[in-house]
Amino acid sequence: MNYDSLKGSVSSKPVRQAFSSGGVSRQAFLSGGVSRQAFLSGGVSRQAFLSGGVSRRRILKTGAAFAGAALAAPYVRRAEAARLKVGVLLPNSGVLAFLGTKITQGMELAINQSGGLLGGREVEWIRLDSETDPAKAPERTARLVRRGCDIVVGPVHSGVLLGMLRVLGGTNTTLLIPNAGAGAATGEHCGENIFRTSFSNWQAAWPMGRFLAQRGLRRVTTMSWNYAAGTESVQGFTEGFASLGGEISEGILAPYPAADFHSYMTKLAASDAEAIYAFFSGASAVQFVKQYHEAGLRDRLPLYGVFLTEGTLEAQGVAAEGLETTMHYADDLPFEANRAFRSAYREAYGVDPDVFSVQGYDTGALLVHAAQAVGGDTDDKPAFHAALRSFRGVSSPRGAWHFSRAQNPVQDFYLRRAAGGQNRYIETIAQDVTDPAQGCTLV
Amino acid sequence: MFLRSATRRNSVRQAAASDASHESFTRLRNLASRWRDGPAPLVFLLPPLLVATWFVPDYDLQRLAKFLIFAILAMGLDFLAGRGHLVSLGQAGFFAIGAYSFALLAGTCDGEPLLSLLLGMLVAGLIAGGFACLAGVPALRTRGVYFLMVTLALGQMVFYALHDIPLFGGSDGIFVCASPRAIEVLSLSGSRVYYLMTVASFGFAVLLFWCLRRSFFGTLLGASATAEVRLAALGYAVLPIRLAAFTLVGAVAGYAGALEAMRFRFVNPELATWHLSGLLLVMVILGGRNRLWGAVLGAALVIGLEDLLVYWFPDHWQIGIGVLAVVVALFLPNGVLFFARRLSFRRLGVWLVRQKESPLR
Amino acid sequence: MSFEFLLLQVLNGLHHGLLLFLVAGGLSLIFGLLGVVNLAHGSFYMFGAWLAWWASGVFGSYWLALPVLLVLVALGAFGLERALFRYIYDKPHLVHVLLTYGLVLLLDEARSLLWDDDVHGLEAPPPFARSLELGEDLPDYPVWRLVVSGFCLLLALGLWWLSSRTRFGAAVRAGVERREMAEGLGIDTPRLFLLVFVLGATLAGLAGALATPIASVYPGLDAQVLILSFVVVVVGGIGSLSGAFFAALVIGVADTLARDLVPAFAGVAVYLLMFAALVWRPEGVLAKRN
Repeated sequence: MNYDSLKGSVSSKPVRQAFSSGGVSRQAFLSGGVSRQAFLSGGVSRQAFLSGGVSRRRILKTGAAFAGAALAAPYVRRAEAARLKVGVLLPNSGVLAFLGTKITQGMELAINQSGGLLGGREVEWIRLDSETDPAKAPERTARLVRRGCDIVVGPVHSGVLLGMLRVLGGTNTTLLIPNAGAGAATGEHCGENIFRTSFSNWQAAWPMGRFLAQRGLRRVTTMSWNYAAGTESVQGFTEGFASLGGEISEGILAPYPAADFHSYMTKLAASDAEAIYAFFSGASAVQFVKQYHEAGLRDRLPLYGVFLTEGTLEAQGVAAEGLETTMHYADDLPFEANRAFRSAYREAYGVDPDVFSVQGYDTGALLVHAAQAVGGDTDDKPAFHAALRSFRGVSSPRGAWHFSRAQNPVQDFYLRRAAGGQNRYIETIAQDVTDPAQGCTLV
Repeated sequence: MFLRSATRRNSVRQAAASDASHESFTRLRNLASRWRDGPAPLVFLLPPLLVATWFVPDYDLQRLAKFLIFAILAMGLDFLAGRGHLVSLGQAGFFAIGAYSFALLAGTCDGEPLLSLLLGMLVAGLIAGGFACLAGVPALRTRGVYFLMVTLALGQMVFYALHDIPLFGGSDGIFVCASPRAIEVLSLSGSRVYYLMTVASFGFAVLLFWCLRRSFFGTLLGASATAEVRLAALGYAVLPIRLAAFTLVGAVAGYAGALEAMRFRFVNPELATWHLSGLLLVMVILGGRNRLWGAVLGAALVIGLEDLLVYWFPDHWQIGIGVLAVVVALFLPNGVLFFARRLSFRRLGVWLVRQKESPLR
Repeated sequence: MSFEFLLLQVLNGLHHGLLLFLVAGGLSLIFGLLGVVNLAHGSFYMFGAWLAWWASGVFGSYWLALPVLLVLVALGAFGLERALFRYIYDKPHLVHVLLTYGLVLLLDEARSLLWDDDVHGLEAPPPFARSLELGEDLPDYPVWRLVVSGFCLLLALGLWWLSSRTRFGAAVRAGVERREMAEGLGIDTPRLFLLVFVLGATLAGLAGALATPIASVYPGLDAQVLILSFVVVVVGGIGSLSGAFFAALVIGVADTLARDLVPAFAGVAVYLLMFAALVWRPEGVLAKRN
């Protein structure tokens, strides 16, 4: 039942009537077209609950409805479609939770900067915890859709993304991906309604491969966890490296999610390669970089990677000092937009932003742009998607970017060096990198 | 194997009855004769579930299907843990094996599947059962706490195998392409037919576990937990009894896995996560151990609660589940059904009358 | 694969195993004596690690933080035993699992509320924050790893002394073997239970604190340690400290070597080993034969 309509001035009378009359007309039932006109839910919106707009009786009632048959909640006609519902499926628990926080903050900042409205409509956020559990991703996504979200933002993790694609692929619900880099989302499973504002795993690694080959390196050992993001990234690196004559000496895959990498240091030390390419992110990046440093390999065998130092510099300390990585963002990119973004972000949240915040910020900016372009009418999906596609990230902190035909960013990649707790910009090593989007029907 | 003489059967029953501490055999029999532990509630439950097929939107049918799948899983675990005292923390492993078997055999998206839909579901159950049988031989040589830890490790092993072996699609999982065909005569779409299949499977599972509980095999399993020595003295080997139960419940879990694979037509190694096994145990105890309907009730309560909490408190919703588990363990260790039985209206009446008649007032 | 390479990997494995022993040893005793299936044991490890990171920041020194966090973990364990665990000792295993599963969720949320869900690193404490150079084709070996290994060995010796040479140890062993008999002889089992529970939890917390400069802290530390500890307890035999010790070393070495020898099966290697051990001796490889 839509308790949000009970808030404020809206009288609860229609809802009561709907209760007693059995809710939606039989026609709406049978047509299955309930997602717009009327819909069912088992719960109270969080805002309504926290703002005290819901009496104890109502909560008890909700509970009773649930206890009755957990799922047989009554159908109630939706009062007014004034607010734009945006579903967010990001991790609020587990190892990746801090990425969820950064992305949410970035997105919030972008929307607040343009007055907190999307195309003149107020936004109602519906947040669910993805738990970084791909097995739960489809049902959580379906729930967001059922709650009336026709825009969904998420996720962080590639496996979760595939679960979401299972529900949203081929539908009219817009999916904006602020991080997960699974190639399939803008490859074989791409679609008119699927947009990515971050990167594809291949895309983030490929420039690094070419860059190392240009530096004159000929043999490199790759290392990552044995999971989809890792193998895709290594694949991208290998293609880039091999395209300029490089050769992979060994591809090491550590069992996911093993924590201690020191035993691999023995292997790396014995390697005949000239450098190491590693794909690790978050907690695993901290451990890998620290243990690489402790093993004294930094001087013997240069370490390169993507993500290795992103959002983790504080935890890595001296171990990360001087590490060179390539990404689509650097902390001190010499753009006015970046400087403004960083000071606004620090002011709003008291912490420094990283690439994940930027991805969230661009997602928010994209929403603002598209909603404005269609005057807030997100129901006309072809028009809305066309508006999203037309986005040119000219004021993005990472520099201008736009969507490829597969709706993945076409963007520049930068070489950065970690120094004094920042990933400092050195040079732009690749411009307008486009994911090959293998198997995408939009290309 | 279980067809022995009647006198020996009686001895087993007596053995089971005399050594059972808190759930004595006679009480079990009395209870079984009542409708509470019989399949009678199906009469009330099935019609609305069936009628829902035509009147409830797809999304809610999918949620109902989730409840039914977990109810099947929990009933199986309850038979194992409640009746046989074999507390398994690895049921999610068999669940995942079933889901993956189905995905690869009947649901593959590249080329023709090897098996038809129904056959695929049955074979998925058989494969999970076979795996349970294989793993059960060493695992069931252990007792109590050991068994619990061994099954936990078993589930983890399945997780790593599904995660690391390339055939299974790694951490991304596999898309499943099989889904039931629509029945146009009844104006049913594929997802509705799927829901009907789940309801039917649930009905069969209730009947299956009802029969098992009443059967001599059920008695043997109970006796193997409470009167092992006497059972051995009567010439029964305990291991085959336990192995049969473990295999059967594994197969049921695998079948449920096949149903789950079809729900969103997506399988992932996380299906084997030990948190799912833990949640299943919460369901079994919350509803009421060793009660046919306890597990079903537990599944409904836990899934319903999780649904509410995830929505209300997206940041720290697991606190709710944690508190529930602790409170139930401390104050309701026999489950809600037990609690409800004590709070029957008749008893309430008797209690009120006694209060009035009390000479101290 | 050279000899030095193998030797170094075994050393890594032993280090891994010794840390594992600190967690699994306590777990094994709690199983053996109290008969409680404690899924929340890994949470003590997690709290030890997070407290080490937090207290090092507050006090400015790892060495000052160490005693403080040990006291905090011990107090926490004491509170949990008094408030929750003592009521479920005589309940079925199912109830133990339920209670401790709930605690796993609650303690993880408590961690998230107390601190955050980010990743944090800690440098190895001052005198040991360096590495030994081993040679051309070998990585340097961090001194802190050696210190931790040595410390764990000392602790293992201390525990051996405690269990075999003191009245407390005798009482514990008696309780594990024949609880009713021990009670009949006048051993105050409730107090014993409390002591063993707190001791086990503190050891797990200590393991977490020792591992922090190596492994850093992040959410989800608990589950990884817990399940490997279970494997150790199963292989070593419940209630047996020496069993847990040797099993932990074997598991640690096997886990490490499997990554080099059979990388495709590195994840499942340990569990296969456990099943092999079970087929061979279901009561634990090193458990006493009855």
